[in-house]
Amino acid sequence: MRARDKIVLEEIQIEPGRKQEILQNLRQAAAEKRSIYCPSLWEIFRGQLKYISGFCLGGQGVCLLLLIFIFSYFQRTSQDMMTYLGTGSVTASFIGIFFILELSRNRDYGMTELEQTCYLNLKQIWCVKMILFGCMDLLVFTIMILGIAGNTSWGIFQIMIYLLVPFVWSNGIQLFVFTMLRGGKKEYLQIGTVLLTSILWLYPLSHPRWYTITYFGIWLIALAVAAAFWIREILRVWHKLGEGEMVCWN
Amino acid sequence: MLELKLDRVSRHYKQKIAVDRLEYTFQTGIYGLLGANGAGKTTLLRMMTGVLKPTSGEILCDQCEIGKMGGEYRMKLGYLPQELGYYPNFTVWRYLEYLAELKAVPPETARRRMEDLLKVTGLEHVKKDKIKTLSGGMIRRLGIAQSLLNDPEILILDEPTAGLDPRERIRFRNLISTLGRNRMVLLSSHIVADIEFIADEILLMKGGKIAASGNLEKILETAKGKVWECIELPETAEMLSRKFLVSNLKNLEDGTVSMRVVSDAPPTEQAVLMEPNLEDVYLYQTGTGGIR
Repeated sequence: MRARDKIVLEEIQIEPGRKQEILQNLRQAAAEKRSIYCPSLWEIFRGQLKYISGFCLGGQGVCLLLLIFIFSYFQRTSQDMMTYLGTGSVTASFIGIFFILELSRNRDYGMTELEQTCYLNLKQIWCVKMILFGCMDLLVFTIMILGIAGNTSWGIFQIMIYLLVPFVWSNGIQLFVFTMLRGGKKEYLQIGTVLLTSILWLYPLSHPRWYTITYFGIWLIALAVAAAFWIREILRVWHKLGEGEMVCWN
Repeated sequence: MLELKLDRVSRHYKQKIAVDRLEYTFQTGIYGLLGANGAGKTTLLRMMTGVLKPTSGEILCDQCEIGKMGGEYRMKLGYLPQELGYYPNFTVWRYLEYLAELKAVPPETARRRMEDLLKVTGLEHVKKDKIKTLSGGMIRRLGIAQSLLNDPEILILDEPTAGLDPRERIRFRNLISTLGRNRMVLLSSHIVADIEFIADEILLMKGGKIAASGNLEKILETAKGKVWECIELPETAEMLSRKFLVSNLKNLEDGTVSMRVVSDAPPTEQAVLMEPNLEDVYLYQTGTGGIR
């Protein structure tokens, strides 16, 4: 472009009416444009925490307080390590029920179908709940492990394994029952299962030698098998949610 | 323009075929799904919401498979299931707030929208009440309100007018007509009149397949020359109703019976050919035996 052809801005004639019309069209197009709002991770967790059932959240809290109370009582009365471990094993086996009952709540009230169609769908909701309840379980475990370690001769790793075995087995079995059950009275069967597994975990305590270092390898194998079973159950729930079976028929 | 395409979509339950290789393209407008129980309507709608995975075939939204789109597709979606789930101890407001959060509606917009929708559905006065205290019709209206929370581009309503009284049904029909101007609305219903009044396109389903589809005129055309009216004695009417599909039967004052029969051939020599309505078409396309 030659210099003499250059457009000088002042020379451009602006029609105020036309300008207003174009601006109005732009504003309208902007207003009609759908803005995608993606909630942050914090908002998602805060939102889910707000709507978790008081019974499940409170139940987990009560368990924690009860555990602190019982352990301090044991400390005052100088109980032996098997008493600590018995309480710990039953608690570890029982604690997962609150998470399962929370998952059941979505199913029991027929909300799964609706929730699955939302932006934050059922898979994601259950993941968030799993993390939230997992954090609370971690807190319970920390208190149990520190409580037992402070009052027995076992190391932290050893205690962790002894408590993780009933915890992982019980959670795997509960998830298995959760995916099997349909129709009414699911909660009762679920609670019945957890009570049964909790009572079963008292049995090894009648054989203190099983808690010696000689048998520690077996505990490790039991944990590995339980973890594999638990993961398989989680994947099964995941698959059933994806296929829609668990969502449409409960 | 938004487009939802069914590409040879099937869904099997063990041996039973619920939906059989369906091919159809939905665009903006109101689509009415008609069919008997077990025709595959709910299964089809569930697949279109992404809740059920098709056994084979694909559902494409603007050429993208909806399963792959994930949250992006669900953001466009509003859904009212046949049986609406709810937490009975939630108040109406808390329930909508909860679902607005799941639908990722910005909090400010959600509050505004909830107020508007409660007004539209006539639930404003019960917004602080627990859902367990609401009547069946109110819960249905709450279901409709929740489906509109995210101002969806695709609205899927499974039996939306079930449980509503005539006044509520009319109000709801008008609401759907308004909504259908700038979005895709799919609704299934047993109430033929609802579909007849508001649907731009009608899909008649039978045995997991689309038996007939098109606008009302086109659909009515499929039963042209098949609808008859005759006046018979009660005994003859009894015999005819065993043999033919009877869409209407009325006892007259003189002791005779007026019958509306759907049949390829005239049921009697005196039968007069009538213009079909959607109920006649529905019977013609889905019925196999006599309706008494």
